[in-house]
Amino acid sequence: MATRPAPETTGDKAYALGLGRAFGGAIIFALPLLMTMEMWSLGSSVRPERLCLFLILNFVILVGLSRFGGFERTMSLGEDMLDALAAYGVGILASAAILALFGVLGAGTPLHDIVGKVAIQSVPASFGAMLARKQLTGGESEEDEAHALRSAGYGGQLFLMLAGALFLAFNVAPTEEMILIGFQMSPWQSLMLVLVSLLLLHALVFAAGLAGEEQAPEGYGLGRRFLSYTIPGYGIALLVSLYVLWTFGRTDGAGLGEIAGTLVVLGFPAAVGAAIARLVV
Amino acid sequence: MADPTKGTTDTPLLEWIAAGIGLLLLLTLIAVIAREAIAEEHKELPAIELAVRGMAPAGTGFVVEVEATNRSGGTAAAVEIEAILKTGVTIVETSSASFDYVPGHSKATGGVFFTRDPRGHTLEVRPTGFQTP
Repeated sequence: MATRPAPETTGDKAYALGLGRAFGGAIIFALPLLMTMEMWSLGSSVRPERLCLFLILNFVILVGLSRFGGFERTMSLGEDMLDALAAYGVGILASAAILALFGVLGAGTPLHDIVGKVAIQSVPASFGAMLARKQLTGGESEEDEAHALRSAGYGGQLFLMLAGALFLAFNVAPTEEMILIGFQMSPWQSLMLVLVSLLLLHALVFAAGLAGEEQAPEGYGLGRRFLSYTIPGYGIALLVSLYVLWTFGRTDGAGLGEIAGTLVVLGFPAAVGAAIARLVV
Repeated sequence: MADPTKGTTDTPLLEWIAAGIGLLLLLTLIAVIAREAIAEEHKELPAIELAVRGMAPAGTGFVVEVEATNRSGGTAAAVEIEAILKTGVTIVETSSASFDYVPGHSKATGGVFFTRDPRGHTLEVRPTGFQTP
């Protein structure tokens, strides 16, 4: 990571400090997945075209995250893209270094295997790198306010929910437990879990005021809030879950009912992630 | 909670779209699961059907690709399959494999290896057992 021309307000030293934090964030966020066996095998078994699409979409989300809380204050979309690239770089380097340290990557590992394993780990790692500013600093109030202002608006809220859902869903999706839990549950239990997910999402967003509380316009009654935030939030959680399951090949050959069952299981953490997005993102 | 009388009358279009899509996804999901719940198909015993999808030389032997289809709604885990090569009634070679999961109304693929070319013999494949997840 070369030091890029920084905005007038920060110098190269500040940027270097930001990069240092980014490495810390990358390792904190990616550690549970770096130590998950399924992630290593997914790196070699995931369909290449699906992995490519995932990497591209992750870049788009990183650019969005840079708007709402990247490791550096940004002024333009161009800067957001530079920061997203830097976060990706940090994520890839951190993942490769830790995987090599763990002996997952060795001299005998074929190149396509190395690339696949590092690529899939770079997704949570780059997320962590991007969010490090928020997580590892006390938070400079003026800057945070600026970010909050930028994230204001309904579209921004939905984007934050998506990022939060992706983050939490991705953390558990690779494990075999996701499909196993789906198989163990009866359809009645699945329906209950849908209800619990919805109620928890609603409660976390509004009662606990973790996300969107300050965004919900005055005069939004309970029903209106439920329709405007909770239902779309759960919809986002389901879409993110389906997309992650598809990327990992969990939907291949599966019947509609089985996919629905697994979707509800993964939708649970995704809904919580969407609700607490403000805490993390 | 906010005062409901101060309501804003202009609902942004994006809110309508987001709520509509969310509602559609939720109702679809509930419909699929409710149908399963009412049909009680998940309580059925698994019905595994095997089909040979292809044969090819592999290393020093041969590989036969097998597709397992579960015709019932009940999920089977740890499905064991056995493949037998025969010439007339004489068993020439047997081989086996196992599938982690063959979910209800779903497919899983795997394969078995033989040292002899299966194309010159009669090949029989059958499931031998499973575990309830």
